[in-house]
Amino acid sequence: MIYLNAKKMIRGLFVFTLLSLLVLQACDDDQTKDDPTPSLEPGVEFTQPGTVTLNISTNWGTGPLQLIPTAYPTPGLDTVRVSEITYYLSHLTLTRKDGSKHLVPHHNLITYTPNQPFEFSLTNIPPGQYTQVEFTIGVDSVTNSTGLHEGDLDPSNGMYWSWATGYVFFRMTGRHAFDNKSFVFDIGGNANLMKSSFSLTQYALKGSQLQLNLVMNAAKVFAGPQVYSFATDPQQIHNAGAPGIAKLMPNIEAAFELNSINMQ
Amino acid sequence: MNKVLGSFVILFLLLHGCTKDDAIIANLPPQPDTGSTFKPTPYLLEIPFGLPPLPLQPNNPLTVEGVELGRKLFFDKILSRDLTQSCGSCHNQLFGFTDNGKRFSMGITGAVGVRNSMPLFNLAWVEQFARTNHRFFWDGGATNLESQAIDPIINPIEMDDSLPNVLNKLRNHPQYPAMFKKAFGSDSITTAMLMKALAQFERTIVSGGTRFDYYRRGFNDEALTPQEKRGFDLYVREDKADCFHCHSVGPFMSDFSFRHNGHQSTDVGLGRITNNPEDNGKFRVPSLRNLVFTAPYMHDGRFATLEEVVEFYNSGAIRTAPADPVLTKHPHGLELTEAEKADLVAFLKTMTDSTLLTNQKYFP
Repeated sequence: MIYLNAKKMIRGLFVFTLLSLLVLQACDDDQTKDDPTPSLEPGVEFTQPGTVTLNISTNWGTGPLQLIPTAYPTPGLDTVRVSEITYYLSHLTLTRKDGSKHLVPHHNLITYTPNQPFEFSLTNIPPGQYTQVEFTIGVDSVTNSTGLHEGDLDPSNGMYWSWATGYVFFRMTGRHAFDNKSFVFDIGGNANLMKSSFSLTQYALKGSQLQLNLVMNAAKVFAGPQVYSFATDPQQIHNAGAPGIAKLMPNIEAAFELNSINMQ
Repeated sequence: MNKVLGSFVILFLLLHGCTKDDAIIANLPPQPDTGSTFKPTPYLLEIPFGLPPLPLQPNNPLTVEGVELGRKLFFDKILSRDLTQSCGSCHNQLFGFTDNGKRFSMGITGAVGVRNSMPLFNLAWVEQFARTNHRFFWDGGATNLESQAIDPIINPIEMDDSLPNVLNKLRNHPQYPAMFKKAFGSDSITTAMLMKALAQFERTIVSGGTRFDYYRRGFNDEALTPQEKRGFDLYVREDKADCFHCHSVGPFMSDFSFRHNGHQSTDVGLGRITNNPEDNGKFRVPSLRNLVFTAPYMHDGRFATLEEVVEFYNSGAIRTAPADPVLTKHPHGLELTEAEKADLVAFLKTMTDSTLLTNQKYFP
């Protein structure tokens, strides 16, 4: 017994020392960026200019989201059938250990198609060690307020408010069982840009091709941090100041999960 | 010195870029195909007397080809679902680009709107001088001319079409693909190009050179009659008509703000755009140029004559909140005499530019 406890203690000490080292290292500002030793640092290291590929699956909970007529229960004691999820994923930003950031300017329009992950790549990621990745859901305020844009931002894609001009950042539509009506979440407006960010420090990878496997878990739009229930919350959201948006925004941000990453 | 300043600016930008959480990058304007023969001709706009220089539009500079395309599009019924209406249907040059004296306009399905067709001239300066992103439409719902022109095309009570359908019609038209290529250097036709062309044409519609311009800016005392000068005096007197707090004396006779003018209308105006109850009932303070051509007046065209408008501000307007403070500070109305009201109307008519109705550059 004593022998076992001692062994446990030694193992505990070893883990503690390792953790301390990692923490100290993370706090050490004098650490040179171009450490020639192989990457044991937390995060991902681009050894040369590289590419980030985002692969986005859409789930309800643990399984792939099925559209109408599949019905899903929500924590708000409701039943929801989803007919559309469309949004802009924009401005992927990688953060270095020293807090400096590399922002890739882009707006990708993502429309959910069942059983078909959405994938796109961003190039010219500068070499360096990155410890965090984030992106915004929506269109930045400058782009949103300066005329019209091309490609994914062409207003003919239907993600545009013509009467209060600006892009719709996120759309989710469907029906719910509460009183068997349709619901529409159209979220836009410069104050309502959403952001999801993920730490990469649990990984220690290097290379030039990083793939981020993301899951958009649609259940979380209704589940939390705050439960959204059609019994009390709005069913129709069509403008930037609509009640309900304040509750939905953190839920949508939390709906994005970084499932796994790989790098080569 | 400049070098030092420059270094500081660069340093600031660098630091800023490293620390700011929400870095914002505007999309670059579309670049024409390199190596093509794309060489649009700069459009030289003659600015009438009394107006300031045209503000630069770096994202959509005026070109001969762009304006020509915009003019054709403005008068082309192809922009409506059943090919029966163009922008020009409700913005008729002979009425200062308003709808033929009508209170409300009728869309292609026969549906009738709830607001009066707005005059279209000197619009580039609205973008320059408006102090918020609320620039166009009576309720300030559009941030710039490019984005403004979408709604009339897709609104079910106006031209009732869809952007994909309009773009398809233009792509399959015998002339438009070549015209878009000349204007924007691209083989494709996009929403942004369509709206840029319309905005370019609209920005060329300028109006000035009125008798009041020669009085105000030309210091020509003879330009106004004694009655008109008395009217102007009432206009700028706080204890009389007190028009100038909103319709600022200047090139546009408006501060381009949104205010509640004491109307009794259930239309919430700007409040629908901002979702701020304090904005309910606020509408654009319009320019007072060319009023002779643009009757009826107010956001809902409720007054057919300038005499009615003056009488409304004299005695009809609500003088308690939510009306604008400029109205509430006159709790008993303006108490103008009949002669003063006539003088004021006479003055308002001095801001009339009849060449706006005959300028061939704006013909279909």
